[in-house]
Amino acid sequence: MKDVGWLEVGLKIPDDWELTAESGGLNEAYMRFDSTKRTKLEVKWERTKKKGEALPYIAIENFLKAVAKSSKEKLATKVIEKGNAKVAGHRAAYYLWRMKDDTFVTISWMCPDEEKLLLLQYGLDSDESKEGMFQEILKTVRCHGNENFYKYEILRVSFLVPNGFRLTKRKLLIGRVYLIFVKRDSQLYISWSGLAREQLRNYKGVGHFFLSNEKADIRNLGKGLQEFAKKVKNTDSAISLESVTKGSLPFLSKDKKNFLKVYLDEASNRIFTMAFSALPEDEQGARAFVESVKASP
Amino acid sequence: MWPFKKKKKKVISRDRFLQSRAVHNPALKWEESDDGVITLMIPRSKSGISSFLGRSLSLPEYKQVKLDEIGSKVWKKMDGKTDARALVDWMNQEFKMSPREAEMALGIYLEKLSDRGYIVLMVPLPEPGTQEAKEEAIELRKQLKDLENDFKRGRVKQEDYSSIKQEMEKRLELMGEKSG
Repeated sequence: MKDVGWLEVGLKIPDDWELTAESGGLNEAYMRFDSTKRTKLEVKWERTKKKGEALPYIAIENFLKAVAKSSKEKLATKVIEKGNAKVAGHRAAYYLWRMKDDTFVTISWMCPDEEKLLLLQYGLDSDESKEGMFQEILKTVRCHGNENFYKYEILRVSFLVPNGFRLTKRKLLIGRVYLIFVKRDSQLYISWSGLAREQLRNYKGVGHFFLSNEKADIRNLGKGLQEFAKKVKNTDSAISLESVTKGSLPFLSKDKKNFLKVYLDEASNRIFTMAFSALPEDEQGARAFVESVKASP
Repeated sequence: MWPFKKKKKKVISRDRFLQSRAVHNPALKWEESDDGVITLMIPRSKSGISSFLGRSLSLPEYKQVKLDEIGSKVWKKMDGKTDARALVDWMNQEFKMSPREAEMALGIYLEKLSDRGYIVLMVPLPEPGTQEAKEEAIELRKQLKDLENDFKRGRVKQEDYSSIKQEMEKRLELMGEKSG
């Protein structure tokens, strides 16, 4: 089993499963995990102020109606079993249901810590019961952050994102990933590029690589970070810069701390760029974010 | 086919992709330079306007396609015996790519090479009873019908028709599907 942390949800999945689709991150999110043969697991959540024990049941009923409605062959869904369960310490509702030859377990629960309604669906193989792998996965689900952070873990890179920061922009490209997290006026940026040694043969140094590939993405993250690009030289083998942007209104606007670090991680053959532009109250979390990055080949 | 209609791409499961094996198109020649970079020699078409232009402009007989460093290394691994799963493991070791990144990059690369006819991707049959088997059977039955029509119109020889039909029916049987 391997750890996955994405869009404020953490869980363990079998080694040969992969995250194959994802979207959202602000007020709702979706992610899908496929085995080598089929879609096995889907997770959805939405932020809601609603409360009540019936909410998970209503969510599943609505979901099943939507599934039946969107079925191309107008197939009906047949509920085989329903009941209560526990996920991450929260009371949950589950339905075991069938559509044509396929059987699914759908489970829904409210996470009051995060004011989120979550729905998880697992596709059972013909020789599989809901007591097997599904239960194993369910035990590992984390729907709220631990202490002050969410753990993100994807493509063998893990890092901590302080609570309150939301994923607002991302690109998951082959060989390059970049993510931007925002909380009010504070931003966190992480990007990594694979095949670093092979790529760097075409550049004069890490600085040249940064100026050619990353500068444009940093540009939208505030004036402070833009200024850094002027200080980077092509031949730099690593970059570490810090600055302070003074608030525009004396006594009213807060100063912002800017930080940029670009380096080659030899062990994982990746070039990492970490940056933040943070208000004083977010600086500690932003520094922890930078220091938390771990990568394995 | 309507010229602007986009051809629907055939989607195969990850499992079938990981079991597939790539083999170089035997009609292609390729050279390796001292630094390990592969150059493919693609024969120019001998019919149509490109041939006419080729002759009048005295273009070389072969078009050259140079692969990059990583593409060249992968090309050399395509021996028809190594499956995509082994290539993903090798890319993980060689370039320290995560398995998912390696799988996606390899998938796109092999698809490109296959679309251009530089390689043949040998994909195993889908498991009987799966959705993939059903979709593949629909496609095969359609091809079988087209083959029968071509045979009736005299476009296909008797011996070719019989052997192709037999091969298609065998594939359908292996997938647990009926030919009719």
